Amino acid sequence: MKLVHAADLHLDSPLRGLERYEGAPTEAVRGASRRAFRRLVDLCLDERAALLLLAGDLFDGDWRDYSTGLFFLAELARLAEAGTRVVLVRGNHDAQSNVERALAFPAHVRELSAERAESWELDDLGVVVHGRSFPQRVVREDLVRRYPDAVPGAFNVGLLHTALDGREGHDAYAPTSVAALAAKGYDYWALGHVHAREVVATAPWIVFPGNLQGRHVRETGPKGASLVHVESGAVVRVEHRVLDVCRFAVVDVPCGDATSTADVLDRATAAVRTRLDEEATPLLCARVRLHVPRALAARVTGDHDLLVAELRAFGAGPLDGALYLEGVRAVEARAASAGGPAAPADVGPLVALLADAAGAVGVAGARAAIDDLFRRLPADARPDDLALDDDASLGALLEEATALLEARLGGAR
Amino acid sequence: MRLHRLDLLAYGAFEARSLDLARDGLHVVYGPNEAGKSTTLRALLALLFGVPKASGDAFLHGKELRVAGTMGRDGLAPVRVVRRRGTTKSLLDDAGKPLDPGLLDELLGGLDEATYRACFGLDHESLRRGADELVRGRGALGEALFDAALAGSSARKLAGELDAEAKDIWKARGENPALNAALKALADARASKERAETSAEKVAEQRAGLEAEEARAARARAELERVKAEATRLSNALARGPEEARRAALLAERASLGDVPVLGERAAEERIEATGALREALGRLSKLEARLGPRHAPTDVPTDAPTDGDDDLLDDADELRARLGRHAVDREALAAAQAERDAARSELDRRLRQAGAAAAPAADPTLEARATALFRERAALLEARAAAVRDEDRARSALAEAPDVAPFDGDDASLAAVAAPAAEDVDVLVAAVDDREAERRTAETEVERLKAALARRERERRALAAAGLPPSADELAAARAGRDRAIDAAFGTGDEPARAAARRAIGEADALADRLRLEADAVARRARLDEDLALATLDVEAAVDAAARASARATAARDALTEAFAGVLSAAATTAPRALRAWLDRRARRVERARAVTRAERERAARDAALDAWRARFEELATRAGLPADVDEDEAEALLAIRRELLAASDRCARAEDALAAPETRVRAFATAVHALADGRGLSSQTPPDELARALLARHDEATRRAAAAARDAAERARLEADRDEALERKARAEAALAELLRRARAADPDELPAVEDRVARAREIERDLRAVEQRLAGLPPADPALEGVAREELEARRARLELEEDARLEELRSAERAAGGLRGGLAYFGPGDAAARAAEEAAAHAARARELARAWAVRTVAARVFAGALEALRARAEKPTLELASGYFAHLSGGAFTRLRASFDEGDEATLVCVRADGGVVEPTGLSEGTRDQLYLALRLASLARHVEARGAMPVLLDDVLVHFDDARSARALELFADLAKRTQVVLFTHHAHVVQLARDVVPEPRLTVHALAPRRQDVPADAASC
Repeated sequence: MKLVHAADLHLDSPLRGLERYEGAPTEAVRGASRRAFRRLVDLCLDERAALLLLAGDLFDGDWRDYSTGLFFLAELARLAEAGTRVVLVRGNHDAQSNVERALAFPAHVRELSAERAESWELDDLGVVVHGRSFPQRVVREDLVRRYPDAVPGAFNVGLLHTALDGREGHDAYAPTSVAALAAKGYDYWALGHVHAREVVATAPWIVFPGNLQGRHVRETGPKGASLVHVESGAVVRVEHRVLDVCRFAVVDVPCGDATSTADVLDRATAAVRTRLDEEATPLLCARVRLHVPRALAARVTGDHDLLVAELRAFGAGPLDGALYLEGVRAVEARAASAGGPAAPADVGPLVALLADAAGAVGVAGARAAIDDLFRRLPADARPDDLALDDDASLGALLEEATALLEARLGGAR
Repeated sequence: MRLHRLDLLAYGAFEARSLDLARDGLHVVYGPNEAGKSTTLRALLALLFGVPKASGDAFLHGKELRVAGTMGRDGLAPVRVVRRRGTTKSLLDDAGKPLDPGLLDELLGGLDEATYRACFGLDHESLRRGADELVRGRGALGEALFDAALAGSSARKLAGELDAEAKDIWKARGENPALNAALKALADARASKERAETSAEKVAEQRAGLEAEEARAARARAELERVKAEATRLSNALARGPEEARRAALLAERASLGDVPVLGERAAEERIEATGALREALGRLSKLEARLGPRHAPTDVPTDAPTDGDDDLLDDADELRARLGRHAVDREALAAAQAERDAARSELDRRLRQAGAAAAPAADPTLEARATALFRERAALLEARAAAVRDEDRARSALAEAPDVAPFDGDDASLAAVAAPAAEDVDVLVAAVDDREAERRTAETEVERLKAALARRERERRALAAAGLPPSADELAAARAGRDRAIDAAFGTGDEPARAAARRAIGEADALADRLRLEADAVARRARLDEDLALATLDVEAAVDAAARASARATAARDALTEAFAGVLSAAATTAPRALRAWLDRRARRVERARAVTRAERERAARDAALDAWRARFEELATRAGLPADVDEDEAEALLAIRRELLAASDRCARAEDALAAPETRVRAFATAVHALADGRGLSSQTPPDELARALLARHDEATRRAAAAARDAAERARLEADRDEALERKARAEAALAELLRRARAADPDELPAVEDRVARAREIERDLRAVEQRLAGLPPADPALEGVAREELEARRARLELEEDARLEELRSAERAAGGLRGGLAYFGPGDAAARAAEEAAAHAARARELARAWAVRTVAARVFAGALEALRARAEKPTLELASGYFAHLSGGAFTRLRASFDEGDEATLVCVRADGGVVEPTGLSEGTRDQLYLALRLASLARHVEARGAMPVLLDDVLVHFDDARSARALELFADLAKRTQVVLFTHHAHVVQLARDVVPEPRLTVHALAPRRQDVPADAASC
């Protein structure tokens, strides 16, 4: 018997950070979450899976388009024809989803209650699925404590949306522990909420399958679902099946020996090509992070637009559209003023004063400088790494501004 | 850093030259135009920063281009480096071993060439440009000092650039900047998404509405069913009453009919049919008996009935009738043929009589045909001869008009016999003569041109000699040999005169060598002129040879032409090629026409001979045809025509005779056949055959008519007898049917049958009505006991009320179903489309762009703020000491016209620079003359350089003819300042102008001044200049 375990579909949630530009492979990323879900259903059909476990966050809570729900139902209907049943719980994102609430699930789909933990006994499979949906977005209690005991003689599956004992970048919802899960005596814990795949334990199996499709540059690596092989009432193997249609990656480019922007560009294109081969994906959505030497940091900062244009052209040309450039960052550029080569005689005194001037401006001055715009920006148009209430990000902004000035003053020579 | 020495090992036109810059004080590098001053300056920069890739200084030395130098700074050992061309390993030691490319970086303080030149280089153009900047900056103090310190306004530009870039990204109330546009696009995409969304709440609401309407419809449907059931119950009760009353009435009537015999439904029809059939059979029998009765007697047989073996009948009457018709045709054809034959005979006789004996046709009929062909041939021969005569006449006319070939006076045959070359050959020869003549003229022209060039060079050579010839290499070699001998003699003997002679010889050789070098151009020009003269002489000689050869070729061509015309010269009486060519053309045309006359005469003679031959053949034919001996050709032709007509008439007679035979045979055969048929039938054999045949056919037709009438009578009787038998049979059947009806009706007389039939029919109707009533009653529900006894009116009133209620329920049901249908249709409209998802993706893309732009804006905005702070700090720090220093410099440069510079403030409270006159008056930079502005800028530059040196150490300052726009007094004061600056750092002044060198000597004490002369001419070299 085979079970397929997936979570965090976030259907129709758009990919973030992919600016449109000439030559960008925009069509290739269209409808990525839908296409990944369709691949999940195909996986169930190809593997003749008996059961599909969906561990929460099928939709985004603020997603209001009912068409998404109809798409979801249409795909599930394909499973009905093949006899694959579906069991799901709601997570923090879809706890209050209007879309999900409006859906009328067919007979082969079972949504577990949000009021109490319940069990769905599938006698013909010898499987019992225990679980509970999030009743609201924020759940701080350990839901597992009220999960039913394991049914003797059956293959017991626990379905839970949780941050477990805490995972970086994820709210600590429905906290619990491996020990608490193991104590329930279930054979397989199908978890959701954490977007990175993780096999937490194998006795019993406790698995985060990760999300189906990376949605921004912080969700890197192959994404997909877990295929669970069950024989004689026990898990014998868990495979991760890649289902994403495009992949986010941060490509770190060491440029320690580079002496010019052209050198940096050569290393960047080579690194992107290598990563594309390694990831084996038809489309890499990459943020290129340039680790440049101090001597070159200011120049790379000054040539930022040129580097972006060249890398975009590289993606559209030599890579034949296999690269969607998310952005370019020069990692060491901000430290340039600390120990770079001596500034030219003419601007030397000025450059020496930049650090002091930046200090004088300070976080408060930087905040005041950008306040007018940033207060007007809608939330999704605000840079991820820069916020009015984040002093660290304002400090970094000051450093970047100083590096830009050094680069410009160097260029003015 | 100081540069101690500069070695131009191989650079530009220089080779192994050096500038010793180690001495303190002001260094002035002097060189007139083309002496290499600029080259030396470039070499200095190349030593420090590398040779530019596209350097124009490698024209002589190529890859061997080298410049070397020694430099150092306080606390560091001097460095000796050699610079070569190339991007890698261009820095070498004296042994050619590569040095670390960064070796000079520390000495130069990380400066690149552009910065160095901008900060430590100053020429008259940048001086003028800086002064202009002062005016444009309206004397802003900070800017002026700062720009002077930065050697330009790059800082101010950067501030402006940052501001402009930030505004290009975003403006508070803008639309076009990139971020404004991106935010607008983001808002639009969001709006699109909201429009494309299918609201889940709306779907839920619609679904709930559907369920409510479906429930309402279900309730209405149930009520409707109830009302309908009650109405049906009442209707049933109302329907049963009349039916039951009807059934009772029918039963009573049926009982009143009593015992009713069993008759079929068609009993009445059977009775009527039987009675009618009997009556009809009896009537028909009566009529048939009446018609058959008299014909039973044998005497009724007609007398003219045909009998077997009638003699008038013919076996084959149709054949006889056909032959009779053809016989008439044959008779007419026979008469026509006889008439034709008689007419042909008469015509032949008449023609014979007319023609007489001579026209009698010949015994051999082929002679006629041959004669005809012979006369046809005669006409063609006569026509051909006439054409030949016409051609001969035309040829003679053309010959008479042929061109004159005077002075030749012989006949045409003689003219044709004249030996003349072909016209094409003549053309070739004439062209050859023309070409050779042209070559000769060209060669002679070239000789003249080259001689003129040779004369010009000889004049130049003489002019050069008159100006004093530069020494030659041989002269130098001779001088050196003398020097060597003198040296040998001097150092060999130790004799003082010999030593003096040696010193002179050395001096002469050196002087000669110097002249060779200094007058290299004149030497090269002399050598070039000598070489050109030799070459020009050779060219002239070669051209004279070529002209002679061309002349010889022209003569040979003319001789060849004369030789070719040798045969015709006497006839044409000319030797001019073109006249000869024309005479030959005229001769050719005349000879050709004479030949045409000869050809026409031959043709006409041939035609005459052909006619003679024809006449011989005619005479032979006439003899054989027996024509009279004296007959001529035309008469013979007429006789032959008559003979052909007679033969035709004779042929027509013969054909007419032949046409008679066939009709005659058929007429006779008809007569024989008719008489054979008439034989024995009592007809006269004297009757003409056609009348006899018609009489036989008339008798045969009458016999045939009689036989047909007898056959028709016999058939009619047989039919009447059969009808009578049938009528008897039908009468018997009708009587039997009536008897059966009486039996079943239990009646004795047929007249009683109608009444019985009426009773039976009524009883049958009652039975049918009863069955219908029973059937309707069976279809109704059983009688409802609850309604028994209720009055019909009451039942009808109740039912009317229920009908009203049913309508209301039905309307309610339809309303609910309509509402549910609408809601169901609305729900079906929703589908799994991704329009909203796509709009969300669009919005995400715009948001991504907006984030990047917002970040870029923030960086630039904060950078602008930081930069403004740095600028302000720099100004504050640099302003006071630099201003004090510049103030003193400016007072000195202006010769006391201005006493100092000071800060002021404009309307915007910005610090500005003003100049204070000796009388205390204040002038802004915009109010200064151009020359004074130059001085002001120079003062600021020198002050900032002095401040820089003070702060960061010495660095060579390169001044390139910076005093071009200064008069001598101002130049002298500037030179004093340069010498003063040279106390702090190395200052090298490059100049083209000897008076600047002289001024420097005047104002700078000797120990503080070093003058370097580049390639000095004797008369130009300032006294005591160090030579390099």
